[in-house]
Amino acid sequence: MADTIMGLILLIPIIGALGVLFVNPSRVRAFSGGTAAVVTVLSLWLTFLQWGNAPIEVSWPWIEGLGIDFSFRIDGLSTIAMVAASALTALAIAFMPHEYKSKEVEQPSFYGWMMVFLAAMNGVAMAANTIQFYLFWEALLIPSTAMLAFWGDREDRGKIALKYFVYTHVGAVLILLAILWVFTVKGVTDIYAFREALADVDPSILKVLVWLFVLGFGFKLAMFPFHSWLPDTYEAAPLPAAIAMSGGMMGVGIYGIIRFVFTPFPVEIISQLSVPIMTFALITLYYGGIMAFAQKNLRRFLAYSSMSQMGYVLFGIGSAHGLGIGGAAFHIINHGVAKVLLFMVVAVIIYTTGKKSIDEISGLCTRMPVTAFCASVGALSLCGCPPLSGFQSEWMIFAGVASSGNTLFTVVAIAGAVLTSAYALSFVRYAFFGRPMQGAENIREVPLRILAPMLILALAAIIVGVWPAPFVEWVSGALGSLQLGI
Amino acid sequence: MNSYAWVVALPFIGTALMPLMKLGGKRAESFFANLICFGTAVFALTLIPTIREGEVAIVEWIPGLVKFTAFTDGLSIFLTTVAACIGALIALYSVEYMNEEKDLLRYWAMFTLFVGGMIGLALTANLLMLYVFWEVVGLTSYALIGYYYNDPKAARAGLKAFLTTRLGDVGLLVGILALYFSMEPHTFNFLEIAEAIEAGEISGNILAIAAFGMLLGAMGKSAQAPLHVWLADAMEAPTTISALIHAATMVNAGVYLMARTYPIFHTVPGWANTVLLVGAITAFLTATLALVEPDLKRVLAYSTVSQLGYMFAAVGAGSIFAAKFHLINHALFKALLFLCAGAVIHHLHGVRNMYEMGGGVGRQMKFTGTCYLIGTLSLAGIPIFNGFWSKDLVIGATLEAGNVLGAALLVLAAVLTVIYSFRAYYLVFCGTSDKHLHDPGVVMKIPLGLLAIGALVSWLGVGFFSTKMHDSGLEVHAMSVGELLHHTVTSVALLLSLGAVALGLLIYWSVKDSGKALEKAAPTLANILKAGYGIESIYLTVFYGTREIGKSILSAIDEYVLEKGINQGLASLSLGAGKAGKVMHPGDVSYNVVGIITGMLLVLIVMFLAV
Repeated sequence: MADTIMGLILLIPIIGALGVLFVNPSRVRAFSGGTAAVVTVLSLWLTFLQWGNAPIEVSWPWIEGLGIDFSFRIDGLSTIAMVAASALTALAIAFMPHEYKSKEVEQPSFYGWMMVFLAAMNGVAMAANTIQFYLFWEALLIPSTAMLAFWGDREDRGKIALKYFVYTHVGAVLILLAILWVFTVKGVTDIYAFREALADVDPSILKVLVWLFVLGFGFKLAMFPFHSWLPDTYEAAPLPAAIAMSGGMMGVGIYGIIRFVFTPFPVEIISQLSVPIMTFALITLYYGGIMAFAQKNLRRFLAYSSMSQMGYVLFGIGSAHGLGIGGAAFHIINHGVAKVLLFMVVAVIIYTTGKKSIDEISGLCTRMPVTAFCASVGALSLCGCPPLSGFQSEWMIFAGVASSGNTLFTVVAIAGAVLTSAYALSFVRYAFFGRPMQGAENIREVPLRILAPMLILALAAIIVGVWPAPFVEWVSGALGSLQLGI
Repeated sequence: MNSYAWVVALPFIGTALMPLMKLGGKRAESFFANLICFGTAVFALTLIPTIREGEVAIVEWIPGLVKFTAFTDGLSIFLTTVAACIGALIALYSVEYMNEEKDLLRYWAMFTLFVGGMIGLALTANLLMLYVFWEVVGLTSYALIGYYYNDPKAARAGLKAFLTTRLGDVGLLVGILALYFSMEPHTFNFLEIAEAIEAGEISGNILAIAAFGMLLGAMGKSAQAPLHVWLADAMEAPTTISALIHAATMVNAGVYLMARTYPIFHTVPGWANTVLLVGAITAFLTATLALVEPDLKRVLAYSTVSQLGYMFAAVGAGSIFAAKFHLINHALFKALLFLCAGAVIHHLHGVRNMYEMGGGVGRQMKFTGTCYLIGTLSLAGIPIFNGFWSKDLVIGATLEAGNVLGAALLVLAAVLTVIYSFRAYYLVFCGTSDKHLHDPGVVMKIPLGLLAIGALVSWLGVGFFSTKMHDSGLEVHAMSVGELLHHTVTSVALLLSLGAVALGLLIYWSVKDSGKALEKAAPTLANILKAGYGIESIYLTVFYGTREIGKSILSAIDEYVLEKGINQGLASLSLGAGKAGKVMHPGDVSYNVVGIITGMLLVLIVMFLAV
């Protein structure tokens, strides 16, 4: 049963991507949204099947000469990344308002790329061996670059797409270097066999390997100083793509770093890594946060806020403590929900007012109370305010940092929440509160079909925040099965 | 479910169901909210007979990590009762007061959420849950300060309150986590932590971090200097909310936390004295600000901060009872003052500036005027009103603790309190007026009357409070009314507090309006006070300065160092090296690659230095 579903999760969006070309263009959005929804249901089903069980594996012979199989494996960590990626992509497509009459985005092939993007994200999360992981990781780049280059919102979209491609590609190459070293020297491709393969490797080589992985994933997570692709990409990417990237792709990045850095490497190496990673976490958190605070452009604001949030994630994994890494994994869901929600809010603002700068809008709450509610939930969740979901992962991350016994890091990590509150709630204040802007009387609340995905996410943020028990169990089960050495 | 579970759950159930009441319109919303609040109050009252030592477990929130356990001692139960009962009275008052508002659903949802959060905060014995509820009440405070969101001042004040208290909360969370990890096995349970501390199992350093961290959190929530700046601005909230959240309940959370942790932290060197001095300095500092403030609600806000300072000082001096007694008394008379002020402001269509009110309100709003006068007399500490007894106990406790500076500041603050509270009464209620005003309706009169009676007689309950607190294992001396009288009459503090009242009254009789008098006599000083000693401008500098750093320095790093400097600059160098390179690599690609490689070199250097 489970293996069929795993196959379907990959095949359905790929078939969907081709099918898009044959569907009536006016139905294409519904078609691709439906496809993504089916994938979401399947990934939830898979989560249910896997819950509390051993990892489920399926494989076919592939490159027989090298002994590499084409194999998929899912465990708890995979299911978290898959559910987050699929659900957020489905919502990103469903959200796309009709009012947004962008000719380009209404082209069927755009949705085809979205489907490929979805398939690649799930492929990354399901890959059982490193070669396949790399394949899907690179495959992720193609649809995102294509969407950026062909449908970007800025004149210089080609340049931005190139920058995005080069940056993330270099990150991928670093990962490839490490993967190839393990393959050529140790002959190991199975991700689960990594730990054993690395056990007797010389520590100095391990250090190089671990940094190749950290840097490689650091590009995807927009770690300082590799973040320069992020603001341009988020500003220029077509909105559905930007939404899927901010929720799904970031989550996959977190997935990768937990999978490759914190599972296989021995404890000694990881604990040596702790301070440098937390140093970069600190810079990323504050740099991104202060930049987000300073942005006028709404989408660049969200981009820098994502960078800052990845600082939290790096703090969590840098803590090398179960709670911290658990918090980082949990943040896949919680940051995804909050950020996608805010992205939708910003999209709604841009559609309804036509303005892209925070300076040009104010007092929208009078005309759009539901959107304002969603914005408040998203912003408060981002700054880790209970009873919203962001708090649940953030306190786990903070606890992880505190467990290191380093008071300085603990204080600055927690104080990061004040900075987050400052920029996130300033956004809400300037956009929604205060005197209504000029021309506000012509603004209407967007219709329910656009509000629905936002309300679903807001509700999710509240539910996860108020009753975190099952989600914490999901995360801790996922990490438990990895048998982290920490 | 037992009463403990109900009293915590009921308000949250109310919040969750509130959106359904939209179907029934305003009346349904108000009725349902009152039902919830009065139900909660009844459950809270039934807790009083169960006061004892220890805790009860209610429900597991995060398996293996966080369980909701409730304290059953006097400290928690009395705070719960205050929150629930005053919450219910203010809910009743709100029915008429808020009737003309368009968007009541938001008001009631946040109102009930606040009551639930406050009760949870008061009851929970789990430190992480404490933090959660602590933030929940902060969230409702933020939302309700910004209730009139179209008013830029309200939007600004909400953000300011949230950020200032969050600054303190950094300390609180650091403290909680430090305690959590110092325990083996790790636990958030307060009683277990307290036992471990008493047994000396936790190192002095950790204890100091936790003690001062939590003090910072408490200072944020209870608006103690220098984190006091948010409370006066918070007066943009509807006056009912000012009465409930920003006077009677939420701001007491800091005092509660200090009282709760006093037994475990008092051995930390310097902690108790710091708490005392923070309180005493705040009491004096904010009393001076109230002298010149023209806005009636802001005067009351400053007086709240000042009175909270008294409670802090009492805790620092080791008298949990004096702090708690003053907390209860203050909650009653300050809620009364705010609700009276609200009734006046309501009838004057939102005018809050006392000079613009024109005086003479007392002639026409006799009931309101009388209630306000009772509140004023309590606040000023005039004998037999409830404020007198507890303020006297606080000053006495500070003297006993041997902190002369603290006691002196508190006595001076008592003088100022008399001056500013009578000034406000004089400016608003005395004199004549040609306006046509009338007392509020009966629904609003009931809470006013009950609170006024409370302000008159609550000190008679001293025996009951102290015995209950003593019986639940707190270090509180059970003290009957007779003993209180005897203690008060024979203490040195009596002379001081009576002297302060007399001096204050004397100054008041001679100048009446301290604000105008000070402006004439010492305009520079008056201006300094009006600017709040410039403390606020420091925060604003940090707030906007952070944004400016982003706009200038960090943007420059992004633009010139990363983009133009590294990416493009090095690329053009490599382009200059040979045209062949240009043919093979389009310029854009190569500049990005060069930039990335330089960045990686940077990281590699750091990593090899660090590892």
